[in-house]
Amino acid sequence: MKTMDCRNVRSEINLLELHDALTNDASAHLVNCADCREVAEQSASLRTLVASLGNVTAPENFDMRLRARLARDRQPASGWMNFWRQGNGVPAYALAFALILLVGVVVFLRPRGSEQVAGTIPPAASLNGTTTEKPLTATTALNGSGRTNPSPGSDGIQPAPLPLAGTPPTPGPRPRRAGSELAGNQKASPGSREYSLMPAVTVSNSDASPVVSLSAPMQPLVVSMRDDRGGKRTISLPPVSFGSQKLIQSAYQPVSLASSGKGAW
Amino acid sequence: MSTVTSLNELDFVAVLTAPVVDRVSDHALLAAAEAGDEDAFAELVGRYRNQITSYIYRMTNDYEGAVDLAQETFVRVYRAASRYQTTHAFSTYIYRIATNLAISELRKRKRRRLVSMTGFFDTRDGQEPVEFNPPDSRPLQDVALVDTERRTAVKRAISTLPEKYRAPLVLRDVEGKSYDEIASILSTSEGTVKSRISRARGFLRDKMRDYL
Repeated sequence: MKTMDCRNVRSEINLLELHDALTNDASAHLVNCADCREVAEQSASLRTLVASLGNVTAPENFDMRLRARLARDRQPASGWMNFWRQGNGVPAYALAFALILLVGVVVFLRPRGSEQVAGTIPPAASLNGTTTEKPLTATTALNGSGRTNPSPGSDGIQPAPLPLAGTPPTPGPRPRRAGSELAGNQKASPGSREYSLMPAVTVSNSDASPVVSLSAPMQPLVVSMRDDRGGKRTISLPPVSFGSQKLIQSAYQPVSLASSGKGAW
Repeated sequence: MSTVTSLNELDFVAVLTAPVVDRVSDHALLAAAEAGDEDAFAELVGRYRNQITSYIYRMTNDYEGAVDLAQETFVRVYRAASRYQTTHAFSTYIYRIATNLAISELRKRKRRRLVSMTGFFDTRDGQEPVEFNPPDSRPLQDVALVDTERRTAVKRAISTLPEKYRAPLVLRDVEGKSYDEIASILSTSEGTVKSRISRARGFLRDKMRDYL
């Protein structure tokens, strides 16, 4: 009767220690199974062979070499290499990472487009795609079609020419401010306006029909595109102005302060 | 500091002192070494240098490399003396360091071998590749030579076992460690240790079939 199969017996043989005996069931199996008997004999022979390998001993100068090595480790390394190896308590990787992070922060926080000074605006582009090169004044009236009407200074508004590119600064009193010499010496970039250097526009409520016109383009920019299949797409971009959107959009007409009845704004 | 007043007293002190040194535990020696007692560390090295060198040699089959790694083991013990915890036996601790160093060295060697032509042979499904290690079939003239050749073959065969089988086999069959201790050294369960030892013996028997 086979109480154990070969697999179980070989597993038991593999776990058998050198001088231990197999269980009765395994021993009974070996009587009838020549293969397992051979495996058992080979295992015993192998175990004896492995055990006979014994231990090797360390060389006689082991202690001396170890002491020398420990003494060498205790001596601080000299020069900058020691700094990078030990980092004065801080791992060198951490130092390198901090350095990279610092450079990254400096680069990220550096003002971008440094040629564009705060307070200036980019050149205004006309709605039909051409660049406006006319000197603009605060009294320029907008009649809804993008045309400008020069209005005299008698409408209650003290005209003040805007210092645009190519326009020499007008003589006269200017508000004193720190760094005001910038206005005289600075060559303004084409189309840029330094509003902070301009005198404020004075609006008087005494005249009958003061008109404040802003020269923001009033017609939306319409772009039509055709694709290969005959389809057409139209994109309409509304006019963009700064600071006086409501006044312009109210009627797309010149704004009269007298008609508003509010007095000053 | 007491002074010795007579010869008899000197003998008495000598008799008392010698066994005390022997009884000092590994933990106490390491604690003294941490406090700067170099003699205590030398004592610790003396207790374990042969065992560790032999163990690493069986793992790597390279004596000079084993001596270097054994020294590195003691250097690490010395450096990490302050972090040593007495939850395990010191022998378990130092064998664990030695095992890690030996396995790390074996992996370095494996990486250094760009192409192992023998790695294509003797691979079975679901098993790690085991390097082909053909026995030398030349006739031997002397029994002593036969014995030497068998030992060389078994050392070579052990060194070709996969790491995860080699370490428990060497710890058990060469170093004579218990399953429990091997499990602690290898940071695994006792069942896994038994299973790996069983498989390692099977691999070794297959490799050594012509020598047995």
